[in-house]
Amino acid sequence: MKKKILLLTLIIYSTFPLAGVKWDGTLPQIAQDHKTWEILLNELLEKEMYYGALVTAYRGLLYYDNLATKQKAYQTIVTLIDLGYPENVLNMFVTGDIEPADNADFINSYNFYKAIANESKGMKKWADDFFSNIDKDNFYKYLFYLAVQAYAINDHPKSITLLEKILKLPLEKKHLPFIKKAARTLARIYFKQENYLKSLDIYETFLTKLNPITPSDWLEMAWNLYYLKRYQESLGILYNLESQVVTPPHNLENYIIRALVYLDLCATDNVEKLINKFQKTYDSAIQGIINGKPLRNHKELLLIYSNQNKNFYDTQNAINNLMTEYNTKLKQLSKDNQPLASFIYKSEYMMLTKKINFYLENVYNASATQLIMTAESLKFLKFSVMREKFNPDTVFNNILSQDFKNSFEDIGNRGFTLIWEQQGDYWRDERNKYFGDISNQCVK
Amino acid sequence: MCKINIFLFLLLYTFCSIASEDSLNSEEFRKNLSEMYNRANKTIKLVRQQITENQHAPFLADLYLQLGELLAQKANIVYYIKMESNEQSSETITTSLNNFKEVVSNQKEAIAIFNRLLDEFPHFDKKGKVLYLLATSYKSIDEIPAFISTTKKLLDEYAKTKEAARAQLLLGQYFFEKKMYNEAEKNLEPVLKSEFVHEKNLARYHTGIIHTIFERNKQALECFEKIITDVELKDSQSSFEISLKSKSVKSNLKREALIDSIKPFTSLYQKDADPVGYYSKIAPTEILFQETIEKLAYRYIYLKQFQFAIKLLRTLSERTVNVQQVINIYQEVLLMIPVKERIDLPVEEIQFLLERYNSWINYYKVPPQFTKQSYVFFEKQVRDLGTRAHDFSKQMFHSLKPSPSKTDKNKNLQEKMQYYAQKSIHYYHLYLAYFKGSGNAVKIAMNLADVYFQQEDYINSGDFYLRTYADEFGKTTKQQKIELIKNSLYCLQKEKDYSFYELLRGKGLLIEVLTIYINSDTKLKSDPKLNFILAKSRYEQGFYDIAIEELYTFIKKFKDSKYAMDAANLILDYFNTKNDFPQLVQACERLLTLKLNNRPFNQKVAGIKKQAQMNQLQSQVEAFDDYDSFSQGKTYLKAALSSGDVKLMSLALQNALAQSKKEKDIDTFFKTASVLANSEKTPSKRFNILGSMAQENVRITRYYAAMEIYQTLASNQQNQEANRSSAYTDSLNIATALRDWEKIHTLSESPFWQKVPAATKDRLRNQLIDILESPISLSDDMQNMLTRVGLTDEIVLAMYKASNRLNNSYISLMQKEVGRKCSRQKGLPVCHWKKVEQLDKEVEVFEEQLQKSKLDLKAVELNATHFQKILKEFTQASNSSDPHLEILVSLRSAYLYNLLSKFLTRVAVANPPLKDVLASKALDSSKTAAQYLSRCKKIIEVQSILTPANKYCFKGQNPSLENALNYNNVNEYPEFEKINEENDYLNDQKNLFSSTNGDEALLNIATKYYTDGKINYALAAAESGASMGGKSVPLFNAIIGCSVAHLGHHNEAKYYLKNASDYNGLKNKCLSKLKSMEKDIL
Repeated sequence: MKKKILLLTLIIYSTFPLAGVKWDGTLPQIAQDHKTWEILLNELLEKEMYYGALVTAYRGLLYYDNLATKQKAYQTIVTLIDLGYPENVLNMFVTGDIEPADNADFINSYNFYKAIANESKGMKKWADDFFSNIDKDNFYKYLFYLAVQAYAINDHPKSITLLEKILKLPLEKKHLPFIKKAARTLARIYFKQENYLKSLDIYETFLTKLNPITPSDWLEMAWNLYYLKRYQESLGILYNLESQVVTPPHNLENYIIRALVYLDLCATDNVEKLINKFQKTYDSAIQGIINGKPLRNHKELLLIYSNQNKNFYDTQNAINNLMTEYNTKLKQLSKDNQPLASFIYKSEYMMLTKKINFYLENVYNASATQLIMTAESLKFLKFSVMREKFNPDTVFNNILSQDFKNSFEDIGNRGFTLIWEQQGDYWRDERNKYFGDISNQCVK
Repeated sequence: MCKINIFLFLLLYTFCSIASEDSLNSEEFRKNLSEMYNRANKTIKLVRQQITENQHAPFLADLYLQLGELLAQKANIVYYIKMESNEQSSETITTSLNNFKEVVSNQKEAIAIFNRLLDEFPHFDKKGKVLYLLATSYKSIDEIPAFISTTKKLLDEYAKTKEAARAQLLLGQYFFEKKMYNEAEKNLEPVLKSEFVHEKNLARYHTGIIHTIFERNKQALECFEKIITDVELKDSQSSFEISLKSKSVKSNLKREALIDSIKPFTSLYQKDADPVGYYSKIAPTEILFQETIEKLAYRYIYLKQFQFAIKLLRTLSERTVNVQQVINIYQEVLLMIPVKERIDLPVEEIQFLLERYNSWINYYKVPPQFTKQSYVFFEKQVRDLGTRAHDFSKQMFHSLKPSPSKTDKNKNLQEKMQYYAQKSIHYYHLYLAYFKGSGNAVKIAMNLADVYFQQEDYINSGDFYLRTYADEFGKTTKQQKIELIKNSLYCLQKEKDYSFYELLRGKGLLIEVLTIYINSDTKLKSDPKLNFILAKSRYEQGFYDIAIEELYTFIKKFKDSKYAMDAANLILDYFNTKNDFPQLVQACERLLTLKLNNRPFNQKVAGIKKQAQMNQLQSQVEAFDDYDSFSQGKTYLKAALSSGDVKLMSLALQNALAQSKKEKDIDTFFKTASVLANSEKTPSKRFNILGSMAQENVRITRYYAAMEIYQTLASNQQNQEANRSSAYTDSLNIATALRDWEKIHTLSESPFWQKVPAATKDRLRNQLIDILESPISLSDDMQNMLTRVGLTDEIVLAMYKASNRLNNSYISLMQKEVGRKCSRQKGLPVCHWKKVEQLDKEVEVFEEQLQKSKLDLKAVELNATHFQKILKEFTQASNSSDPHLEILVSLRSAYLYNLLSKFLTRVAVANPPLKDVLASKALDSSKTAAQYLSRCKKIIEVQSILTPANKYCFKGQNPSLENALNYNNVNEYPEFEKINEENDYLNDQKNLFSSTNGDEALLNIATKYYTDGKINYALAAAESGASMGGKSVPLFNAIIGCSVAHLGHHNEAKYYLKNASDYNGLKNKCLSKLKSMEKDIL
């Protein structure tokens, strides 16, 4: 008996770390020379392996102490942000402790991101210190920051003035992702001001003309068109958004806009089609949810966008892009760089695939809830549309429901009258404008 | 004993018992010290040489000063070199003087130089500085009396100089070292107000330390904060100082103040501390901030304020890129915190740590033993945190009073229980996310389900039991599976206020669990309760098609179970809620077929079925495109016609009738009735329906429509004879009411005429008599009817009087009949008229006789006798109750008396002796004649009768019999004006149709008919109204009176008008009209 207890005690204690024993990991041999790292980083940027480049830059901060390496890492991170790297990298600046040199744009950017990082951590004093090192009058990112601040407190005129100033700056092509952000913010402010025409103009003439497409831009453009009662165009945009071009996660909001359009037009048949489409897309998941099947059986739930799951999507996006780069471009790197790149890609993949588990439970639950609520809303909508069609309040109302502006007239006014109608539930005219084919079906 | 105290404030740093990070490594520090030493030696050598070569130079004093300074500095460097090489503590330093001979000798040489300067250069402008350096050197070799006297001298002679301030500071420091804190404070106080930034802050620093010693934490913190935030204090102002701790050669007062502020800060803020907020605001640089919070973290761990410590470490970790460093700090720190307090750490911190661990383990090449150790460490950490929090929450749960107690104690317990339960939930989730494949994952998942249950989150609890059952977290045993599925089932059956999603998901999970559970054991497949719950859950989940059939199957299988009724009610509820009445009817039929052993329930189902049929009909009706809520009757009829279901059709027809009646939709009503009649196979019932239709037509004054129906009924041989006869009579009555003699005549040709009740014939007869007696020309139809109604005494009398308006054949017939009657019964009125006919001849004879008579008494007697005889016979003839005849007899009597009077007057003239007597007799006769004339007028007045004899009465003339019987003018009987019964008076008909009493509506329509000249309709409608009796009779009489007056029925009109009220002024109007008619006629 005593032996057993002793054995058990030994087993238990053998698994405990020895107090005070420092867990030391070492860098793999291939990663020990920062020069190798720098060469790899340059090549990754050159080969446009941006996700890998970002991860590699971060490893530089982690692995090497010398300031030159750190500066190179931060320069890369800033470059990638400027190129439109979509995920949040602010935390990388929290640890930043360099005295930036090189060009003014980088110095300004570094100080700016440091300031923002400190501000986000409640360190106003440091934030102010870093802000004080920025060319506040001319640095476009700072102007944008001010515009966003003004927007946040609903000082729209100030925000608009700043954004217009930014958009008039002689920025270069490499600043396109930034210009997109500024333009999008301006469009959103106009939208908030209910100045839909101005907002639409930005989406129509700029944001939706860029590749790759940003689904939210299309969605926001559709909202503008909806409020302008240009229902056909709004639907056209939404149909297009539903195409395979758009990568997940998918925003269920497009169903809501379509539904609102149909509600305004009492289009009962279209609502039926909308619901059918929704069911066709999500029926398996919905059935799983209401039949008590494990949510994890329904991977499609991971493809539904929800604001509260942003961390998950960012992580998933990073995994996907890293994998794509690894599978398609790693072999294009010089042979000397491949071992370190392979190590970085693989280790990052391992880290991310573990990390994503933190979010999964919430993502499944949030998506399931959103899906069910949307399905239920659409079910209700079906009846709402029918009820709107037969709304007793409108019987004695002499004012006919306001008819929507026909998009065809617009075409006429612009000297373009020839329309090639196409088969299917939407068509596209020669100017790449999409239209949903729908008419007002409310009983007058 | 001489002690060495160089830069005492450096030693004071020992108050901060906190380990610090080396800023430079020792080797580098030593190298720098050596370099400094070498340089100091070289410089000293050069200065000595310069002094030697420039003994008369004006700057000689300055050179001595530099030499003294350099020697003092060298002494300091030597001190540090000795310290570094010995790696000694400060205590050792002070006691091992032998090791520091070089230090002392250098300082002594410096002192000698400074004293020389004071002695030999009395006008040297830097004497103040010299005194200060001298005092410093004395102090450093512990020659205190000399130090104090030098300092006082400096303060006396060079007050308000920077050197004076420094000297004051030095004094303060001295007393401080001697632990004479009051003295120290006194000496430092003047410097606190000094204009010299660095000295002022040094004084603040020492004062702050003294406050700290006396635990005057607030004042201490204020002192340190002033230093840290003094914008005038720059690093460059710091004196050239060497720090053993930081291994730097440059001290930073702000840094020192930051670090020394930690103790008063942590003592002052033991709760609600916000060290990150506080230090981020005051720390001059990010690096200093980072250094401070690290020391703060350890300080809080020392104070067992772990929550602050962890928050600080988190802030530090976020700002530290080196993940390896971070996990090692936590490895050390976490173990320093007892687990019962560790569970208070925010879960986010542990997640953050796991994320860092995740990065470390993947980004570095970690030796296997560390890989294993770290995994075990973190797995155990998270597991312990979860299970310990879980245990706490359970303990508190069991300590809670069972009944809801509002005591503070119970409330606190409740709050704490919630707190720990939530903690455990979060830790368990964290565990399952990161350590899913570990050997403990199943246990943790079960724990999570348990804590969810304790939190009354039954759906999540059930879900986790189910997921554990399904081996999502690891393999489970068979026995575990049974328990898990039972637990899940138990949880999911619990009811609570859930959100919509939760309800839906919860029900779904219940379905899944039940399905698994029932299928796990054949016995369970026969469990009615479980089977019912499953079917019910599917039903509630909206899988109606499956659920309904499942419920039927359930009822069939478990007919005697108490759940059978519940299942049946669910089915009924479903179709009822859905308003799917055909299905509801079908469901009722299916349930009735299943014959549940519950009579009241079956009765209820039968009732529902009936109601459902009714509702089904209503739904069908409302489903028609042309459904109009104001003419539902029509839609019901439509539904009936389109229905293939006989029962539904019948129901629809009944509703159509009732609804069209309500909606005044006459057309639909009759169409419905026709459909109803046509669909009725039993003749007697069909007869009744059509009869009702005819009655309804009469009620709304659609007389011809009614007659048509009656005639159809009468002609239909399928109907019983008596019914046919009755229908015929009804038809005749309508024609009679309308005074449609053509129709009456036509009808009278039917075989059923013979069976017409006497009353009907009497009515017709009276009408004919009235016509005969009125100044109206007689149509053939009327005359033809004379014989049909029977030649009664009254008819014959009337015919007699109207003989000049009769066709010859009828005159002959009348005469023949009069002869026949009078031969049998002389007392008949007509026979009296015949008598008058004879008497008139006798009157003629008598008149001639009087003309020719002698004028004597005998002749008087003879004629008087004759007179008496005729008069008597007239009197006898007048006893016929015929006012017309009475008028005539009165006129005849008057005439006879007048004849007699004239004759007696003539005789009186011829016989003077008898003149008076005879004249008197003549006068009497004349008076009697006048009385007869008065009588005739009275008869007219009393009887209110119009006869052709009237005008003679008023004129006092004696008409011939012919004139007394015939009117001068005879009116044509007005032509019958038919109307379009279905359209012309529709609204009035609708009012009549829907009214229950009908009085008012009937009066309205009768008035309209009369006003529009539709006299026959007015008459029929008014007679119908009057026949109902009541208060309206006089009103109807006015219309009847006027109508018959219009037709020429003078006497009848007078009769009704007499009994009429002056409705709309009709009575007076019509009476005046009658009078003017009388004039025309007479």
